[in-house]
Amino acid sequence: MNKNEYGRDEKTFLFMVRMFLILGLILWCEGISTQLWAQGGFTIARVKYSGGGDWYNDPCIIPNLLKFIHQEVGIPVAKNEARVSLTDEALFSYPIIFLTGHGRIKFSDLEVKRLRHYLTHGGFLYADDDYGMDKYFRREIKKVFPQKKLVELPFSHGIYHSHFDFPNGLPKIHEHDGGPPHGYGIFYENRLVVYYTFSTNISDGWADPDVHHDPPHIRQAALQMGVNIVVWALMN
Amino acid sequence: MRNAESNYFAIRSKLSRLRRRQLAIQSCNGVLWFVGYGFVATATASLLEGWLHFPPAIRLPLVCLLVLIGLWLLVQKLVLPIGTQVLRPTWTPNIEQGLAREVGRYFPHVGDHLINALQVYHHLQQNREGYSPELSRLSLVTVWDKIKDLDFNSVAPWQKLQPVVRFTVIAGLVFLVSITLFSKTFNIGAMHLLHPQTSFRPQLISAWEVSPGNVEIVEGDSVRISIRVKGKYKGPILLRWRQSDKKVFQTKQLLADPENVYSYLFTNLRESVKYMLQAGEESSEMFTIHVEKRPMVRLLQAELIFPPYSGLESRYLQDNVGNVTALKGTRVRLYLKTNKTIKRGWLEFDRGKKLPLKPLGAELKGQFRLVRDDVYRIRLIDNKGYRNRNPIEYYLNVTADQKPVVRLPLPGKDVDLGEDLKLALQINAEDDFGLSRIRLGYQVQKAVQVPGVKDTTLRFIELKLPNQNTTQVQLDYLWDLSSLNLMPEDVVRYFAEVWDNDAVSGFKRARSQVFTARFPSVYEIYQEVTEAQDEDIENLKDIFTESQELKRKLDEISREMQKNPDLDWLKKQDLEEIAQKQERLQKNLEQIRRELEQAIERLEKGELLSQETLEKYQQLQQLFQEIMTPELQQAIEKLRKAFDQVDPEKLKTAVQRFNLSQENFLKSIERTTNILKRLQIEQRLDAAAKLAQNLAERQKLLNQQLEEIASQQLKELLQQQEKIREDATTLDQVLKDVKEKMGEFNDLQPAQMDSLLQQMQDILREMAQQNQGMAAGNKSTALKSGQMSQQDLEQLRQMLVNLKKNLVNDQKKQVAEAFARSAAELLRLSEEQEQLAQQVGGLSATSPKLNELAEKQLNMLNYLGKVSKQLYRLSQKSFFVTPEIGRAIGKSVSHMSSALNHLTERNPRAASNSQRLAMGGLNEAVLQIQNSMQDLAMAASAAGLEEFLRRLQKMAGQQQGINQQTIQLMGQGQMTLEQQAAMACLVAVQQALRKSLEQLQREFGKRSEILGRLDGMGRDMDEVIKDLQNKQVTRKTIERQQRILSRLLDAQHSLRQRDRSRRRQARPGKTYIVRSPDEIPPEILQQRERFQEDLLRAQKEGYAEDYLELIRRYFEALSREMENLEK
Repeated sequence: MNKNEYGRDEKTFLFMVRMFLILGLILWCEGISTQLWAQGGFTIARVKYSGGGDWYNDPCIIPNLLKFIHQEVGIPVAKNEARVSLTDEALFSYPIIFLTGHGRIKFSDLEVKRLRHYLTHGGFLYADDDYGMDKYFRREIKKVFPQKKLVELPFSHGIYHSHFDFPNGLPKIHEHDGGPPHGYGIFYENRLVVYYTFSTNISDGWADPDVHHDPPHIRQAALQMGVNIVVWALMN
Repeated sequence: MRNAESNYFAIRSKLSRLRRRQLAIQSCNGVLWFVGYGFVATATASLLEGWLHFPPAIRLPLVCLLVLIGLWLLVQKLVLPIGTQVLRPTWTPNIEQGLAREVGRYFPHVGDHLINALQVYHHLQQNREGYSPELSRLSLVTVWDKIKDLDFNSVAPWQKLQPVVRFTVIAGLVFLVSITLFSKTFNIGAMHLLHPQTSFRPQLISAWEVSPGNVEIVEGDSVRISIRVKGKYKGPILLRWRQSDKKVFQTKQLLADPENVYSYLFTNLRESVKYMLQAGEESSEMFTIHVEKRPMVRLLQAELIFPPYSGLESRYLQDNVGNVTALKGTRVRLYLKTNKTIKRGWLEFDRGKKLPLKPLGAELKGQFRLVRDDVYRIRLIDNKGYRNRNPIEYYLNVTADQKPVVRLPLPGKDVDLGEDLKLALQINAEDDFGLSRIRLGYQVQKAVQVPGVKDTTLRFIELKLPNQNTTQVQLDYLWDLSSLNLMPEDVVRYFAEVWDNDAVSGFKRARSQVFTARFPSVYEIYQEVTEAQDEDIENLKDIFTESQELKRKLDEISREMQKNPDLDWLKKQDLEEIAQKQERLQKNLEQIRRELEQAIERLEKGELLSQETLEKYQQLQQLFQEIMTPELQQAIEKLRKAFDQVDPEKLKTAVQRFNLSQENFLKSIERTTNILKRLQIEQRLDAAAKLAQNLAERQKLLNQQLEEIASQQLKELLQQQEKIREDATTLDQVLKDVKEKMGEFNDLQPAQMDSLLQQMQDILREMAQQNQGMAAGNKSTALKSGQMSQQDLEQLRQMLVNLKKNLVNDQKKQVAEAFARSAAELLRLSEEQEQLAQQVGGLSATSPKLNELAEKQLNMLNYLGKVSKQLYRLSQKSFFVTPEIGRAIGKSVSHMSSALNHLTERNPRAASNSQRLAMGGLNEAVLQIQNSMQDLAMAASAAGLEEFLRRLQKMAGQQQGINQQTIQLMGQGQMTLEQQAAMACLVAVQQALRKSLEQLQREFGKRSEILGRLDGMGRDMDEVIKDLQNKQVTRKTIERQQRILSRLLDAQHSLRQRDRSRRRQARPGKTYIVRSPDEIPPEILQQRERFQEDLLRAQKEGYAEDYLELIRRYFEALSREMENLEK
C-alpha cells in the first residue's frame, strides 16, 4: 500500500470523527436548550418603574408578541410576560427587558446602578415611547450611561434585518404627534444594549386588534419589528 | 657608741636617698638623649633618602652609622652610667664618701666635715690605732647636727635635665614638622631606610597637586577636579572614585592637557564621593567631595476645608499632590515633611504674595484660602543657608460655583387656564452645591384695565424647599390663581426663580423661561368651536349626499350587471371613479373626526361641556371608527382586483359586496350625523348655561365696581359693560341657534326655548338701560338695571341647566321605553317562534297545516322587520343601539326566512331547526338590548375619566393643604392647645384623604390601578397619620407628604397623557419617506469604550481626583485627536 493513500484515508477518518463530535455537541446543546425552554419558555420582562408613568399599560402586548415569535421563529415561549423591578434579583434572569409608558419615569440611584450593571453584563433593554415618555426616558437613561449618547441607528443596522427585512428602518405604527419614526441605540463594547423607539409606538401594534383598531398590515409590521428586536437581542 | 652609730645610719640613709635620686636623673638623661637623637636621625635620614634616593651602597652605611651612633649614645648616656651604679656593691665607704664629698661641695658650711666624720668613723670601725672613738662619735654628732636639716635633693636637682629635655623636645618637633610637611617624602624615605639593601626605582611623581582636593558642595552641584602632577611623569592618570557609603570604585582614565593639567567634572552630585588618583604604582592620597543635601519636601499633605455652604466634608488630597481644584473660599492646609531641619520656609505665589510656613524641625505647616486661580511653590532654607532648588509649581484652580438652573417642564409651554383657575406646575431646579430659596414670580396683564388701576407689579410666591441645601429638587405645585381675580383674556406671565447657597461669592440666582397662562374667554372658545363644528356637520352632510350619489350609481351598475355581467370599459371607469371618491370621502371623514376631537378638547378645557356630554362625544368618536370599517376598504381593494380578472361573476360579486359596504357606510354616516346634531344641542345648552354663568359673574363684578365709584367715573366702566352686553348678544344667538336645531328633530320641543329667549330679551333690555344710565352718569339707574340683569342671568343659567337635564332625561326615558318595548316584542316573538317550532316539528311533510303555519311564520317575519326598523330609528338618536343588537336581529331574520322557505317546500324538519335558530337570535337580541338598557341606566351615574381626574385633583389640593400646615407645625416643641387642635384636625383630614384613596380604588376599579401601582402611597399616608397622631413631625414626615402629593399629580399627568394618546393613537401611522441616519461612528462603538475602561482602571488605581480629571481630559483629547485623524 502506498504511503499517500494511507495519508488520505487518515485525513478522511479524522474529518469524519471531527464532524461527529461537532454534530454531537450541537445535538447536546440543542437538547439542553430545548429542556430549558420547556421549563417555561422564553419571555420578556416588563420593567416596573416609579415616577408616575403607566408601566403596566396594554398587558396583552407581550403575550401577543411571544406568540408571534413562536410562530415565526419557532422558539418555545412562555404564555405571559414577566414583571420585574430593576432592584429585583430576578432581573438577571431575563435576557431582554421592556419598558414603556405615557409619562414620567424615575430611577433611584440603586436602580440606575443595577440597570447599568445589567446592561453592561449582557442584558438588553427595549424602550418604547407610548407618547409622553420621551423626555423622561432620555433623562433617566442619561443617568445610567452619562458618557453615552442615544444615537439614531441607520437603516442598515442589523436590527432592521435580523429576521424580517425593514429596508426603510422602523415601521410607523401610530401617529401621535406626526413625523417619521426614530430608533435610537446605546452601544456598550460594540454591543447594542439599549434600543429606544420614538414616534411610532411599536409595542402598541402588538396589542389585540380591537384595542387600537390598527389595520392588519400595520399590526403585522409591528409584530415583525418586535421579532427583529428580540432576535437581534438574543443573537448579539 | 650607740649615738654615733645612729647618727651614722641617719647620715647614710640620707646619702642613700641622694644616690637613688641621682640614678633616676641619670636614667632620664640617657633616655632623653637617645630619643632626641632618634627623632633627629630618623627625620634627617628619611627626608634625605626621600629627596635624594640614595643607592643601597650609600644607604646601608648611612643606616649603619646612624644606628651605631644611636647605640653609642645609648651605651654612653644610659647603659654605662646606670650599669656602673647597678653593678657596684650596694654600699661602700667610697660611694658613701663620694656622696659626702658632693654634699660638702654643695653645702659650703658642711665642707669636708661630713667626709671627715665618715672616714673617722670607718677607721675606728676598723680599730685602727690612733683614732679616738670619742672624737669620731663627736664628729658624727656634730656633722649630724649640721646636716640633719639639709635637703640633699637639692644636691641632685631635676633641673639638671633641662638641656636634654629641650633638645629632645626640639628634635621631636622637628620630626613632627617633617612628617607633616613632607609626609610622603618622609614615608618613602623611611620605607627605603627600613629596606636599606633594596634597590628602589626612581620616583616619577614627586607630588600631586589636586584642586579642589577635599571640598564640600551642595547637592546637585558639579565639581571640576584639576590635577597637576609634579615630577617627570607625563602619561595618563587614573581617577578612581566611589560614593562614600559604597566600596566599589569606578575608574576613569584622564589625559593631560597641553598645560599638563588633568581634569574631570563630577556633575550633579547627589551623594558624597571619595576619590584618588593613580599613575602606575604611584597614587595620591584619598580626597573627599562632601555633598551637602539641599532642603527638599519629602511629604506634602494638603487638606481642603470647603466653605460651609457647600456641605462638603473636608478631605485630604493624595500625598504629594499640591494642585488644588476647589471652590472659592476653600481653606487649604499644608503639612510638609522635609529631608532636614529647616530654618525658614514660605509659599511663593505667582501673584506676588508670600506666605510664611511655620517650621518645626524637619516639618512645616501653613494654610491659605483659595480665592482665585494661581500658582504656588514651596521655598525652603536650611540651617546652612542652602535653598531648595527648582521647587514644584502647584496650580490652584477655583472651581466656579455654577449658577443654579430652573425649569418649568410642566406645563412647559404657554397654556390657557381651565375654569378651575388651577395650574399644575412642576419646577425642576438644580445646583451643584445646593439651593437655598425658590419662588414663583408672576405678573398679571389685565385685558381690561380697571379704572385708576394699572398694575404691572411683579409678585412672588415663596415656595418651600423640601430640604434646605438640596442640590436637586422637583417641586410639584398646584397653583391656585383664583385669588388673582382674573378676568377672561387676562394673561399671567410667570416664571420660577431659584437661588443657590453660595455664601462666599454671593447667592446666585436663576430664572426659568417665562411662560404665560391665559384665561380665555368662554365666548372665544365657544365661537371658535361651534363654527368648526357647524362646518364639520356641513361636511358630513356633503359626504352623505355624495355617498348617496355614489350609491345610486352603484345600484345602477349593479342592475346592469344583473342583465349583462360583462361591463364595458366606460362602466369600469365609473366603478373606479366611485371607488376613488369613496376613498376620498373616507379621508375627509377622518379629517372631520380629528377636527371634532380638537374641538372637544377646547370645550373640555373651557369647561363648556358637562361630563355627560363629554362622554357622549367620546362615544361619538367610536362611531366614527365604525364608519371607517376595514370591510369597506377591503371591498374597494377586491373591486379593483376584480377589474383585472376576466371572470365577470367575480366582478359582480365584488360590486355587490362593495355596494353592501357602501350602504352600511351611508347608514353609519346618517346615524353619526344625526347623533352629532343631537349632541350639538346638548353641547350648546351646556355652553349656554356656562355663558350665562360667566355673564352673571361679570355682571356682579361690574355692579360691585359701580357701587364703589363716583357717578363721574361711570363712563370708565362703560367699555367693560359694553363687552358684557356684546357677549350677552352672543348668548342670545346661541339660544336661537339651539331652538333652530331642536326644530330639526320631531321628538324635541323647540317651544321649550321660548321662555328662555324671552328671559334673554329682558336681560338685553336691562343691559341697554344700564348702558344708557352709565353713559348719562346716572349711577342709581345703572346699578338697578345691572342688578336686575345679574339676577335674570342667574335665573337663565338655572333654566338652561334644567332644560338640558330634562332634555337628556326625556331622551333617556324615550330610549329606555323604546328598548323596553322592543325587548318585550322580541320576547313575545321568541315565545311564538318556540311554539311554532314545536308545532312544525310535530308535523309530517304532507300535513295540511304547513301552509297555515308558513303564513304565521311570514307574519312573524314582518313583525320582526317592524321591530328592526324601530331599533334603527332609535339608533339615530342613541349610542346604545349597538351593532351586536343589529347582528342578532339580522341572524333571526335570516333564519326566519329559511324557515319560511322550508315550510313552503314542505320540509317541516328543516323549518323547525331554522325556527329554533331564529328563536336563539331573538333571545340574543333581547339579551343585548337588556345589556344596553343596563348601560343606559348606568350612564347617568357612571364616572368617567374626567371624574376620576377631578377626584385626583381634589385630593392633590387637599394633600397640598395638609403639607403646608404640617410644615408650619413642624419643630414647634411643646405645642400650645391651639396647635394641638390644629394637629388633630390635620390627622382627621389626612385620614379622610386615606379613605378617599380607598374609595377611589373601589369606585374606579381598573382605572384606579394607577393608584394601586403607586406602591406605598397608602403606606405613606398611614405613616404620616401615625406621625401626626404622635405629634412627631419630622423631615421624614414632610418628605412622605411631598411624595404623596407628587404621586397624585404625576398620576393625573400620566392619565391625561394616556388618554390623549388613546384618542390619538387610533390613527395608524402613515408611511414617511426619510433618509437613513448616518452610519454609527466607530468611536461610539469601540474607541470610547477603551478610553472609558482606561479611565475606570485609573480610578481603581486610586489616583487623586485632580489627576483623574487630568486623565479624563487626556483621554478626551486623545479621542478628539483620533477623530480628527480619521477625518
